[in-house]
Amino acid sequence: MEVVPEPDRLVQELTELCERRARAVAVAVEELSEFARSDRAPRELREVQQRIDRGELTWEQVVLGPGDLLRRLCGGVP
Amino acid sequence: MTITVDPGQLDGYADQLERNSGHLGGLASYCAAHCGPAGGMTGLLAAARPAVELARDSTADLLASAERRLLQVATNLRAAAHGYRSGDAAAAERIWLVLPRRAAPQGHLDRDDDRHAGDYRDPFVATPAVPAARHEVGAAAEEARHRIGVVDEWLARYTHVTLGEHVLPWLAGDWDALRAAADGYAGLAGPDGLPAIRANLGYGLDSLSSGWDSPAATQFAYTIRDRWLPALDTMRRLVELHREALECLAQQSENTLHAVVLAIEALEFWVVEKVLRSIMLAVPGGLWAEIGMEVMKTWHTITALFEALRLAFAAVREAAQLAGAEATMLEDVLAGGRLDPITVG
Repeated sequence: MEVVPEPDRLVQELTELCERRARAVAVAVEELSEFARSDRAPRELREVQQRIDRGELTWEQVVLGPGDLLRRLCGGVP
Repeated sequence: MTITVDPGQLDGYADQLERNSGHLGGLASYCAAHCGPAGGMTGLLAAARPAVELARDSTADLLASAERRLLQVATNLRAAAHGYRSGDAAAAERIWLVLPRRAAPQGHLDRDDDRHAGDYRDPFVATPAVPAARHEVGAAAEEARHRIGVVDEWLARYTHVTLGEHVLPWLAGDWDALRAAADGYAGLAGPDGLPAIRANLGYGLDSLSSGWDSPAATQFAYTIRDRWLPALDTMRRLVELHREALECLAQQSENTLHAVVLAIEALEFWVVEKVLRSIMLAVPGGLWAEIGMEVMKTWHTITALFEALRLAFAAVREAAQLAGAEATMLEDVLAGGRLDPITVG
């Protein structure tokens, strides 16, 4: 018989998972921003970071937004 | 045999019994209208519908049956009043000496409060308020649907997997129906429901105590105080059980839907982090297959959550069946006192 999870315990686990992943996103944003402001970053990435620094955009919007920006930044997007 | 009787007072209490029989009928209609789904129990909720409908129908049937039985008690009491008034005290006495299926124990003494003799007004009104509309569980379902929409829109742009196709059908329906029905039972069990009728019957019986004293009076008082009042208490406990079961299911549904939202939120965070890192590394190869795997994991989590909820719905169905059996037994208890098989006078 398949073991069915206890919903309360699962809610607790999922809450903790969300918190861990939110922190991981914050770290990734910080690292990417630092890289994007450096001379090693491609021009397109530096331009996006400048818009983010001006408050016109967030990295979450770049990833989950309409898609054009992400396609340009990620050459390998299908 | 010493008989003290004021037939007018018997009629007064018969009027009160009739009025409260009407209140029971009102509660039966209230139950049919507010203690079950008006519709919208689709999706995963369809698994809970049989239990909710069974509870509502057996409770409404029990209340309607109690309405008829109490009306019969009133009719029998009126017949006794008529007998005393027309000088046939023996016939009048016989009604309440013979009718009760279970007689009062030898030496039974009625415990009357004679401070309001002859008062057959109802101290309480049995009209529970219509439950207010609820939106907590429905709001959680709406949040889950919204989140799935956002994630699926993104997934559709880059992958061939989506969540909505599998999950949205389960989320269909009116998720507030369970708590709304629980509120209906709370109305029946609350002070404006069954306890009001119980208090009215007890009050009127006390009022009658000085107007009727005879062996039949003792039997009649026993029928009301030791059978009808406990039966009304049992009915209240039954509806309270239904309220608790439905409230528990509503809460479990709400928790499950919050967990679904959290699972989707966790997927969103995961996707954002992976994509940000792939932008930094400029090596997106393999990422999209990995996202597909993560979506499947999220889908499995959601499936497990809904399975747990479905099992809870199924368990409550068994409880509702047991409660239905108890309601049938209670109807049988109240069936004592039918006039039809006995020839009076």
